[in-house]
Amino acid sequence: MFIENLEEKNIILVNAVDKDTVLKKLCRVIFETGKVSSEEILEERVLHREKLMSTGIGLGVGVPHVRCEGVKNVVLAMAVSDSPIAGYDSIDGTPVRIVVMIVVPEHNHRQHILILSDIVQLLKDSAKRTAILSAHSSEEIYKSLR
Amino acid sequence: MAFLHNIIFSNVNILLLIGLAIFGGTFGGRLFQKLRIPQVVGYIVIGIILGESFLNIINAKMLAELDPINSFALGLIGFTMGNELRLNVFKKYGKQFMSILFYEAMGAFVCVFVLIFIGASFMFSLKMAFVFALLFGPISSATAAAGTTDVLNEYKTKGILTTTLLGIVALDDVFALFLYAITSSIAGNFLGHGDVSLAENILEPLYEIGGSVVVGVISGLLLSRLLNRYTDKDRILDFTLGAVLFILGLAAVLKIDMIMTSMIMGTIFANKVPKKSSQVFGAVESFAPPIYILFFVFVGAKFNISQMSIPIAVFIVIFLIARTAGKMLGANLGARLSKAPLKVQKYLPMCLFSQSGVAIALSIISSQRFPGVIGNTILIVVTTTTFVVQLIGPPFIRYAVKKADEVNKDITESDVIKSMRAKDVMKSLPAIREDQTVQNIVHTFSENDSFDYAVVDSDNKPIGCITVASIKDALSTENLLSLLVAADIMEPVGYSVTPDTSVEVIQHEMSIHAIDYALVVDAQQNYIGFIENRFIDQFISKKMLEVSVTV
Repeated sequence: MFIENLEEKNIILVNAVDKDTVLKKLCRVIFETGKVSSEEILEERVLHREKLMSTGIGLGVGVPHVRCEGVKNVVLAMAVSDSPIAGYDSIDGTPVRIVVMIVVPEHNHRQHILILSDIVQLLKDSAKRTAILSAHSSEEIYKSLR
Repeated sequence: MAFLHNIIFSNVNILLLIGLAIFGGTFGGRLFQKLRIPQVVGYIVIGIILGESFLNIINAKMLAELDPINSFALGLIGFTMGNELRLNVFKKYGKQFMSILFYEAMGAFVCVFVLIFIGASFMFSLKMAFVFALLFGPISSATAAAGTTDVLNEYKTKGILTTTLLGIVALDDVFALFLYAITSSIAGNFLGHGDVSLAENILEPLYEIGGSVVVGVISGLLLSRLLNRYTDKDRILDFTLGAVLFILGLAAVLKIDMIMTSMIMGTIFANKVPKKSSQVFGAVESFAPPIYILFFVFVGAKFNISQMSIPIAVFIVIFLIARTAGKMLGANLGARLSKAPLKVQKYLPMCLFSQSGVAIALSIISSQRFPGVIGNTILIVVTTTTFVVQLIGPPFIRYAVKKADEVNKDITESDVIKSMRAKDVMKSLPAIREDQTVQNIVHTFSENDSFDYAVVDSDNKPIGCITVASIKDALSTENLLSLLVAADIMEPVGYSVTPDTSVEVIQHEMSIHAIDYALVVDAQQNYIGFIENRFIDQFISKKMLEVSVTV
């Protein structure tokens, strides 16, 4: 479910960024897909959600996720950083370098949970994570997820 | 002024007239209700204003054209009255009903007969006076359902006085028809109109009543079978109204009694499928008010002050006094002899003044059978007295049912819902904060007995709701439990209301939004409580139980 909804063009490589910057960059990527009506609302929702509880799920992975009004379909975006993302807390204390953002229409409650679960399951695999972190382009990352 | 009158009123068509009558009648009814007078009086007063006595918007010709509406109203009244005639009630009170019915009807007949004879003998020959007495007597014995049921419905009465009153009103028309058959035959022979024999005169009402019973029973059985198949309220109403109209038309073709036929159809239906009856009669009662308003507006419009003359005025006064006294004395005597409860003995005599359908029908028959002075006098006197008793009768019924402590006892679920506000049914359940984890939320569910909870932000403003279904989805993915907060699994706010929002509106909105809960917020939009559909059901059940215990 995760792979089917992630497009190669929505994968970005970042370096030396803090949490807010990477989240805003991902919001921009998602907005540019044309499936979200307002970048401002999306950003506001994503940052508000992070205030409630950090989405750093451990193992160096962050999964910011929101259900948002004005979203037509599920949209995913991914950022891979060459260094730990500053200010991104995670439950096991491991610095976050892989961030997958999930944006789901407001009423797609079940789909939201399923995609989130799918991502967590996939990125638990250390070989996958290593492949992602050692990739040099979006294309390589995309292939490593397959 | 005459020019203006022509422009405004000469082009009054039927639709305009009906609209005017319903609108004006409703306005008059509300106005009188505010003055604590039954609405029906307001409808009649508006009728008088619109009628020939004043504005002349509704004239006799129009009233004749609109007569099917009167028949429809009487048919609906008869049908809904049928619901009151339950077999178990008859088994219990049948003897009592018959005793009261006989004495109140005979009381009116005897008093009117004697006093009309005395009064008429001063103005006419003894022979004419005797004929007047013979014809006015039985007409006075009928009591109308219209004007009675209307007040009982308006004040939601229930109890032994209401049951007895409805039983009497439903049955004394039969008595009046028989009595009239006998006395009119005597009167005819007395005047030398020997064209119709006494036997023929008795056979005619026998045919009317027997025919009504046969048609009413068959149609009641067919309607029971038909409506038993449907649960949809609109379809039930369509079939029922169709059946009432069909039966009224058939009764007219067969020349049998319309009200009695529809009443028997209602009785058979109510006794055959009692579980369905509240839905069916409830649907008819929700449809009927505009038809009833028209009926009473037309009663008022029939009153024509220009037809008054001294003999007619004298007859009117005698008829009113004698009928009232006879009915009161007779009802009291009948109630005492049958050992009816004290409040029936005391207050029933005040409830039997109403007169319309059968009395007017008999006066029309009299005017045709005895053309000239006798027929015209009877027609005008009965029409006028109908108007007077329909004005004075309802306030007396209101007074009696109030004194008998039977007001506001016939409470239905829909009445309870209409009286309820959000604050009556909401529960002050704890809200879930948007940053609460799933483990914490599960704890909240286990501590309280609700299936749904509001989710609030840091300012206590509701932003969503968590249901058992949302918790179930979250729990189905074990690897996420520590990663999810309330904001992730909640549903967005479906519908929020203030404490004073009517529950009727809340139920309607819930069905539109396809949800079974509503959040209650104060003027500042802060969360204060939660409403679930089942809280509403529990409250209604409790209220209905309280009402039934009180009754």
